[in-house]
Amino acid sequence: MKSILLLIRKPIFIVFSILIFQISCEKEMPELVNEEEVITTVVLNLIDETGASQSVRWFLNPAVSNQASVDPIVLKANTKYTVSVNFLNESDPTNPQTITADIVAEADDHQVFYEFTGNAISLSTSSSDTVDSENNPLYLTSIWSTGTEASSGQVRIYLIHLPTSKSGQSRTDFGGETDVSADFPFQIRL
Amino acid sequence: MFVRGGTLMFFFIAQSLSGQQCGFTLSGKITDLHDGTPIVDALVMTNQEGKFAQSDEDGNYFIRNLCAGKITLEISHVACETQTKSIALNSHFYFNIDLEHHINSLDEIVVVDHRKKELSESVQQFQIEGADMERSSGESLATALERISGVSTLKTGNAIAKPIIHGMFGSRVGIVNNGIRLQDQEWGADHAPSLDINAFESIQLIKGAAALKYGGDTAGGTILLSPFSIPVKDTLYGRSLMNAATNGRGGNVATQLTRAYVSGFFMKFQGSYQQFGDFHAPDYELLNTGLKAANLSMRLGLHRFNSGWEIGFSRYQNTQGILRASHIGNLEDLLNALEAPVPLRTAPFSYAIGAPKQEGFHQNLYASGYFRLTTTTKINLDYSFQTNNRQEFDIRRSGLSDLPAIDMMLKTHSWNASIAWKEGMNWSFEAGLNAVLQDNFSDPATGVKRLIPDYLKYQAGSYFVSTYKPNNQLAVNAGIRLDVQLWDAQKYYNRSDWLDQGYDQDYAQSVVLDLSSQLLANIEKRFLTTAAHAGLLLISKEKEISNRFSYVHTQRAPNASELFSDGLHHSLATVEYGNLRLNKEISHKLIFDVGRDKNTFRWNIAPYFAYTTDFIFIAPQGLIQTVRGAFPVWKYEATDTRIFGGDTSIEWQFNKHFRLTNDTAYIHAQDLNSQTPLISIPPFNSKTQLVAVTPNQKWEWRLSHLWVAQQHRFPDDRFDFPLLVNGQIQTQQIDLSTPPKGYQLFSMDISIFLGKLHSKNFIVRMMGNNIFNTAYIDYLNRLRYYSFEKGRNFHLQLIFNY
Repeated sequence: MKSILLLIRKPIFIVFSILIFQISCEKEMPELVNEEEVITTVVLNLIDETGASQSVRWFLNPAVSNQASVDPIVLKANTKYTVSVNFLNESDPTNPQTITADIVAEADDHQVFYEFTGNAISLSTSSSDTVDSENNPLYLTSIWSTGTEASSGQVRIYLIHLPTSKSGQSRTDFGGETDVSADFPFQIRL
Repeated sequence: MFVRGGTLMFFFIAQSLSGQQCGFTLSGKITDLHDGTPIVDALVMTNQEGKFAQSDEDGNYFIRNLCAGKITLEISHVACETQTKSIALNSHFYFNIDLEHHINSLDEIVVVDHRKKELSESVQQFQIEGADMERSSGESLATALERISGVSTLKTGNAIAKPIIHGMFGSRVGIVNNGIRLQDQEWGADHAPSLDINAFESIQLIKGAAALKYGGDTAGGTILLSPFSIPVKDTLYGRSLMNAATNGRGGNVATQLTRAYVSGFFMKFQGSYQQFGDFHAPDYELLNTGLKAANLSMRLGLHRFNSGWEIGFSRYQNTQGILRASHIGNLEDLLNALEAPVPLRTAPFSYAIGAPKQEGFHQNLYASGYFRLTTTTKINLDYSFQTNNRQEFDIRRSGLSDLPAIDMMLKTHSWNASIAWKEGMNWSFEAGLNAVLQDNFSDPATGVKRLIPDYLKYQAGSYFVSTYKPNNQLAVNAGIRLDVQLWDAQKYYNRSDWLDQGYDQDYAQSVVLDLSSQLLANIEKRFLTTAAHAGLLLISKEKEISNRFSYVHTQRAPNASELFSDGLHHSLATVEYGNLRLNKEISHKLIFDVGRDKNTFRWNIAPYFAYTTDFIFIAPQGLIQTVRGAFPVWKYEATDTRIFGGDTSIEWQFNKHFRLTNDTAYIHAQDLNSQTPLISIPPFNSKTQLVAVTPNQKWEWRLSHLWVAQQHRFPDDRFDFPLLVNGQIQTQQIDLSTPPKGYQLFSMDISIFLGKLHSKNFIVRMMGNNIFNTAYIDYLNRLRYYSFEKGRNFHLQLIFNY
């Protein structure tokens, strides 16, 4: 027994000394994390029946600000617009990443939706929209039809991840987790 | 013949020449201090090499061939406090010994097990051992501790649970694992202690006070997890058990084996494995709440009277599912979940565990040794290396759900050295030093901003405790501790946060790297903390009523989460920020304890009062805008608090067969600066239990009733939030802070004790929890918005002790 004790005493000491030096007294500088999934930007491209287009942008980089910068949308009454949405990661302004491609690649797991205040704008599907494997429209491209009166309001754009239902009339119908909830103010002019 | 005769004569001459006579016998009877019953298998060790004995079935012990002189005896028993006695031996001596025992689990079958055990003196200490330890073998540590009055559990889902004592949890409750403080990211409210309860044989709780030997910062209390001491004889013993439960359709198996030798050498192996699938609430399955855990530990060493050493290794690893429906995107998702009568995501039962989930492991490698300088002075040295890894997996895009969103590796070295000595029969002292070196690494490969940054922490502490115990009626404790803690953290801050918090003014010199949207700061902080304890135990002359009174002073430096936290908590739909400006908490506490622990009616009343300055807690600050919409922001702040309450306990033994117990607790906690109640304070609760034992003591039946009242004292953190409802933006008041209604739960268990071969026995236990399948919500569950708590559970337990 004693001999075993003596035998293991020395190696134990060596093992412990090695273990202690696993923690150096100086640490390396930590790497900056490359956050790939962050979405900072929502871009809406609205094209009316004549082919005139406008592009509005919602942008929030939490590292720099807690307040989003939003372009207002100006629409004409009685008009149909083809609206397409694009999601971007512009955390590094010199290297913008397009997230929309990932959404299209995982069409079954995503859904875009819009909710408007008031009832001046109605939402319908577009034939050029991306569909998922069950032919449900993703609303990456949609048709907005404005009413006859002048008004103003807000449109909230949702990007929903893993919705529990792929059809609905309101945000709650889809379930799932909200990845984007961005508000654009709009104005309808006669 | 001649040679032998000559040798014999030489022996006698040598003896008389040396003046020392040997061949004396020391014997006596070892009995229980309270009721005189014999104590079996108590170990009586002496300071003379190789001379020791074990008490037999009548409590008698015999030690032969002792030499005259001063003999120091150390009497120990698995279920009693070790005693040291000194006698001067110069003839055959008969010496009876009284030991304070509380469970005689080796002899009687189903015992009148006293849940309380007075180990040392002025602060009430509670023990969970034997039968209660067996009942807990399929549970978490926090659930097991709920058997003690005044202990509640803070949960994140079903399986992640942390103990709350006197309203305090997390870093305010210390866990000591076989003499070494557990270093396992306890700062996370959603991180349960990384250990398997089956690796220990005894859980001891020092309620409401820090055990100064292990730290001066645990105002909630200290939980000591220990194995039983190893007997000094040639023996092989062990225990194997199995638990199987209906709720979750799972269970665990655990086994341990100890081999001991008369030389004092021993080896112990222990292993356990646990698996559960989805749990269910009364009306639905709780999708993705399964868990898997495995634990392996080994110890080996040599324990002798004068010296000893021990080395050990353990590894615990687990995978824990988090309710799928609790993973939401933003506050509106949370509100939808709150209003839904069932979780928004359900599926049939399955054992699969996917995101969101937690995975982790904890490894502990340690070595300890002790030796006696004199018979009354003992020196203890130990070293441990703990590695704790925690990974959290979220639901992510682009197949990234398999990559953890949080991946932290915490490595800690700790060294302890202490010296314990006695002066005369009445005074005992202990002084010690300890040092801790800790390193945290938060892996950037996660692709998600670090919740806790990389840091190095250095800690050094010293303590001195003393006890004056002239007789069994009085004990006086006093102790003091001093610690210094140095933080060296490297953290990336968002420029917006850096400016919002005003850190550009106070910490400008800490900036190491300035990138456009983020900056790297090297934060160095130093905290000096002291702690002290003075207490008194008085037992009235008839040994009927014991009175305890203690003043406990603790100081706690902020932990890693309180200083540096920075991130989104999905299931709580909140963003959390740490606070670099936090100071240490200073707490003054008075603890009283009056009770009678004898006879057929035992009772105990334990009120306490604590006043803390710079008490650190997390409070809402308003809303910020994110890409997911508006989020409530919570930040760590400090305030002054007053916490008082009381725990009461009654045990009424009607007759040999029936017993009624009741444990009740109440806490009143107030934030003195804002004059509002504190958050997450356990409500009034009362547990009543009826126990019946058959005449032959082979069957025991228990019926329990738990009543948890609604918590009416809570901070009203209602806030206004603009919701888009039916085509209109409406400002609505959101209430996530009002606690749910109170509830009552009934449980039952039946234990059958088979076999009485000395210490070998086989126990079958059938347990039913929430037998009426009550649907209830627990205020202390952070995921209470998403589902009811677990429903009915039937549980079979088989235990084999050999």
